[in-house]
Amino acid sequence: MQHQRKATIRVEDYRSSLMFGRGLVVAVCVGLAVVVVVGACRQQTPSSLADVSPKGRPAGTGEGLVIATQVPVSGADSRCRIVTVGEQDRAIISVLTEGFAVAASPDLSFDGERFLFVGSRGEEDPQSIWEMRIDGSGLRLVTTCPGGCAEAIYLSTIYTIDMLAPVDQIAFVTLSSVEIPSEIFTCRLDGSRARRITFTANGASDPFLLDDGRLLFTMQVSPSNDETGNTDCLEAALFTVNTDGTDVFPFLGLHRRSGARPHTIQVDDPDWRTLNAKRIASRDRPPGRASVVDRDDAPAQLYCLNAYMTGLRGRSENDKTINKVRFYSRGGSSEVQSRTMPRLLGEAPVESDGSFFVELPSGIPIQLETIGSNGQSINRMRSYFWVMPGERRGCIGCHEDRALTPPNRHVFALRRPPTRITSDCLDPEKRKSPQTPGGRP
Amino acid sequence: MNVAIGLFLAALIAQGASEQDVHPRYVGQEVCLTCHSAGRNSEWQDSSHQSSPCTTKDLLAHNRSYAALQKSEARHIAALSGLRADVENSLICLACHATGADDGRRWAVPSFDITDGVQCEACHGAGSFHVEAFRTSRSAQPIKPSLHIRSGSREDCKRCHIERPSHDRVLKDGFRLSPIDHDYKTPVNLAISPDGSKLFVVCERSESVIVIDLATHEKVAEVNVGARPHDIAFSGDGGFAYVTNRTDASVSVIKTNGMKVIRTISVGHEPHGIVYDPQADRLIVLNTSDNTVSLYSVMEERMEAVLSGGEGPWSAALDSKNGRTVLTSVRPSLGNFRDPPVSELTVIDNATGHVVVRANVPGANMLQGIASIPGADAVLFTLVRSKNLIPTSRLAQGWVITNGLGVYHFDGRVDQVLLDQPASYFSDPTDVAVSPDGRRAVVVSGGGDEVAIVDVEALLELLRSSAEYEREHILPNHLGMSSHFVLRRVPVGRNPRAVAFSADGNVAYVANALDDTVTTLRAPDFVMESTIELGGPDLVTHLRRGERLFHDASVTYGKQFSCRSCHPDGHINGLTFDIEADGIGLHPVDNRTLQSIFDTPPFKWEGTNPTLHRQCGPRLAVFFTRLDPYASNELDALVDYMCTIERPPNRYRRRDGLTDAQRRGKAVFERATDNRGLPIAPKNRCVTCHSGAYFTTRVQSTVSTNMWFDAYINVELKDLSQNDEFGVLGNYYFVDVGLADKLMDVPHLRNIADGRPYLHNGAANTLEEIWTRFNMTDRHGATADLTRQQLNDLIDYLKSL
Repeated sequence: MQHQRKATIRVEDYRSSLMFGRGLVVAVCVGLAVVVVVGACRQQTPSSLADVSPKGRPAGTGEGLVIATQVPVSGADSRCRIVTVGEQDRAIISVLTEGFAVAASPDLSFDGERFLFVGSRGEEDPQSIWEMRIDGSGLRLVTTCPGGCAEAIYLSTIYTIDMLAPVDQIAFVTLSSVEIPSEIFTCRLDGSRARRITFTANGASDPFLLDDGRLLFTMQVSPSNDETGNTDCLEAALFTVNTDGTDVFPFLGLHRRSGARPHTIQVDDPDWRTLNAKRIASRDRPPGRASVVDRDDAPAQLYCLNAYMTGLRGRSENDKTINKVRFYSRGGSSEVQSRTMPRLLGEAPVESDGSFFVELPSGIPIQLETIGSNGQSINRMRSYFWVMPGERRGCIGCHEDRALTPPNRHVFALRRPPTRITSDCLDPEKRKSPQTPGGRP
Repeated sequence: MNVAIGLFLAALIAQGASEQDVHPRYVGQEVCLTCHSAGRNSEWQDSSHQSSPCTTKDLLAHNRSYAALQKSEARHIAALSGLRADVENSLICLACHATGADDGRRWAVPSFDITDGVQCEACHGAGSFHVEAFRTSRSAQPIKPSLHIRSGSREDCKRCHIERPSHDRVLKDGFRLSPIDHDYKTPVNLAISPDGSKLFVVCERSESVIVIDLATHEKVAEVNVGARPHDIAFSGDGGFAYVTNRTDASVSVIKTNGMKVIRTISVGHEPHGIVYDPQADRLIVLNTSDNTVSLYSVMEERMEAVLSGGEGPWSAALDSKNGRTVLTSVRPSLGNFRDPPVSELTVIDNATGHVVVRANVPGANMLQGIASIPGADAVLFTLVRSKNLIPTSRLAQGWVITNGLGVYHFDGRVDQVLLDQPASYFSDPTDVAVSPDGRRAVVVSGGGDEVAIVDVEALLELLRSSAEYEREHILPNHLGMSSHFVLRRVPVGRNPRAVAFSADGNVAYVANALDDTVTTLRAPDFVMESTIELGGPDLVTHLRRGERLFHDASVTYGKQFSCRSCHPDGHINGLTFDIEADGIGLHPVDNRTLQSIFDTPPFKWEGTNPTLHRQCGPRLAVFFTRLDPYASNELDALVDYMCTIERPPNRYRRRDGLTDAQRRGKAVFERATDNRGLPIAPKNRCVTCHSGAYFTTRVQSTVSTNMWFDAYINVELKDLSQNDEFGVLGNYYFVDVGLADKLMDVPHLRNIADGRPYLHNGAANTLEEIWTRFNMTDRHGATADLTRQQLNDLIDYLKSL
């Protein structure tokens, strides 16, 4: 399927969005809730973080090639496709996704031999996750999402104590809608064992696998000056999470960058724009994850070593005494309310050394608020976190310097059983994952 | 009375009255059979013995057990048991292949022959009193069978007839040491001769010192020294090199003109570091196992003094300008339970040979390499900051172990900084060297296979410009600070352990222990210039692969730590950790040695891991390293290597056996009645749980050593003193607050003296405290009635095991 016409590929701002140490927040104000994405092509919007070229050796069968998504220039045409292009001569070698109404977001495997992509056969079909060899053979459906899938990337392996050996897995993002935000899921490479790993109030997307094996992603959070929890103006902030959903943390703090700057790839082609070009090559596989997350009903715990610790400092004389900490989730009678209404789950005492220890419900967005001696609110989180089943999560303090290591101290809170916080106040139906992936077809 | 008994009695008389009259001695099977032979007083062959090994045929088979030690398989089994090849002198082997070895030949009469293997007295105890009773009965009638002799039971058989992984691995699986395993060099230290012409590399595996001509990078000599050499120092004129031999407890003196060992000096146990003080013409030797420092006068060829060091003195730096020698300690000082570790820097006045300062390094352990900073009135030393008091529930943010450098200023101040970065740790910093101009330092990361090039001036300036709070709280705990003073990290060979600068400071030499090379780094950028091969085999054997994995931090998230990070020399770091798997905030567990553990399953303090494969496979990955587990072949190699980690000789044991006090202690250990003559319930006897070759039955038991913090018990904080973890509840034990006692693993007792702290949670700083502080209910052995002397004897005996 050779295409004689040459396409000139120029990369703009190819890696500017991933300068570690600076972080990236794309401040996006949207009119109503979150962006409603209706198709995979629209997911090729500038906020994608997946278009970093791998730096490894050229893969055998894909040597000298680039794989990319092509989007029709005409706005009326929503089809898009995945192509390979000669790295040197810039000639399109093949259209890999013939027969797909929509195909986009290719993510190369670590050996550079295969790729994952999001696509649908028919224009009305929901987007699913597919895998194909880079020569176009070996097409298989990996998993489906009821409302459609938006992105998929390869992860390294996952391992739990009852496994014989680690298994490969992928991460994928469900499409968002007015009612339901996008969230990140993982499943095994064969599509089985799908598990939701983000539990946000307003959506998570743009998964990117870091070299250390963690997942970098964007989460929609409320602006710092908005404590009402409304979703009219959200900021996308970078977070990291382990690939089993544990240990979600802001990525080097929350940073703001003025103006969203697209990192597009421009193509001299009258009919198609070429996006997300990636040199086909092998790359180092980040380390896998050995996980304690197993049974869905396993209790989760959270301990904080010193709630007074902020930045580089612990408690100072001017600090108000923190007496307890309150835990909120989201929950209301309607779908929209369930995402916007804070709902008190419970509270736990804070010991005199600033420590607290709780057992938390897993798999729901949770927000923390510190309470002073007179019952006044001292601080409340802007974003949400969650705990996974079986996770025993530790944190140092509240917004402590992320390069600060924990104080080596046996804190008071860990000398007693945890305070149990439940989600009994939440509607059980609302607690269910709104978008359970179809799993293995 | 026949000849055998006559010989026995003659021997008794010849030895005269002594402590030995209080305790029976081994007489040997020949004496037993004098009376107990077929047809004569042969009740041992009656129906009650039909199912016992005491038939003539079986007895002969047991007698051959000693000869089994001479089979070729024995040395492979010994290797997997962490023993050196001399199996015929190994107490662990002899415990089941001979009789009375634990007591020693001092407690046997000449008629006893250890080469007769397992004899009657192996089950019935030393028989001299029994024989003596017969003699004094003045009667030909048989004496009461149980008089002064144990009756023996099937339980005695189980002491030895149990599954032994080391034996199965060799006899069933066919494990064999590769001949190549003995050919590796394993360089662990190096030093440049005072004239700057040669590099002396101390090689632990080959037990030699390899001499490299620095002009040609060719090996010009290899000098065999003692067992497990570790460090080297030169006399002032370079005429002699002094090498510490860890296992031999000695220092080899090499005459460099001729490259021969001319003498061996006995020092303390497990000597590691050594320096030569030219002013005093004195060797300073750091005896890691003894916690002592030997001062040896070279001119007078005598030991001047033995000083008390820190816990596990490791390396020393001599600072001539300040007239001080500063010593690191690899283990933290013993302190209050669950207090942060504090390690000691010991400062010796070179003129007087006295300890003048014991400087505390708070929050740090594993102080190893040390070097003076010329012109700065300070020394640099490597350190680890383990976070052992918080749950090991994650690794990010330096949650389990951080690695860094310490600065000791001769005005007494101690600073600490981290060499780690947020996602790239500098695991196992084992050595540091400073350039002669004092501007650069090279620190090795044994787990990361790299070195850090440190701008010393920038480091000192960072300290000077930082406020007190920052120096005390931020710099020792911040992962971003190394960017201020680490110029770069440079990859080197596998498992770098030591570094030394050339005299002109232009080259740094790095000893790579596990690929038998020395890397040269050229100033000013310290890029790798060349690799000097020391002559080890190219082939990586199964055990060598395991050794590499043991020292490799890449199995851990961010390369934060390796197995060695907590197990230097395969032993312990002296800390108690809060492991996630046991529940966080409770049930702290003491770190346990890896020396000679293959035959001591189950593993883990709860005894829930039946094999080392289980312990080091899934569990290690999920609860410690948080990355992929070892592949099957890797795990095999790692486990086999761990099993070969040698147990050093017991320094409390005389060559001829137990001392009188130890023999008395053994009687306490084995007693079945208390001081009032009342029987002690079998459950409360030491030997019920602690018997066999390793003094463990390997059966989980409840001995009420669980304490209130071993489970979530709702106690009021007011009951807990902030200064004492036990507080008001010090006497409240697990069962006293209404919870069922937990089953715990019975730890083996070999070299228990070197296993401080004690108990599963590390609550007891000393063996004494096990009973004087933590056995109030008398459930961990019946000890309440023991006199002070008896307790001392018991402890003396335990230390001899």
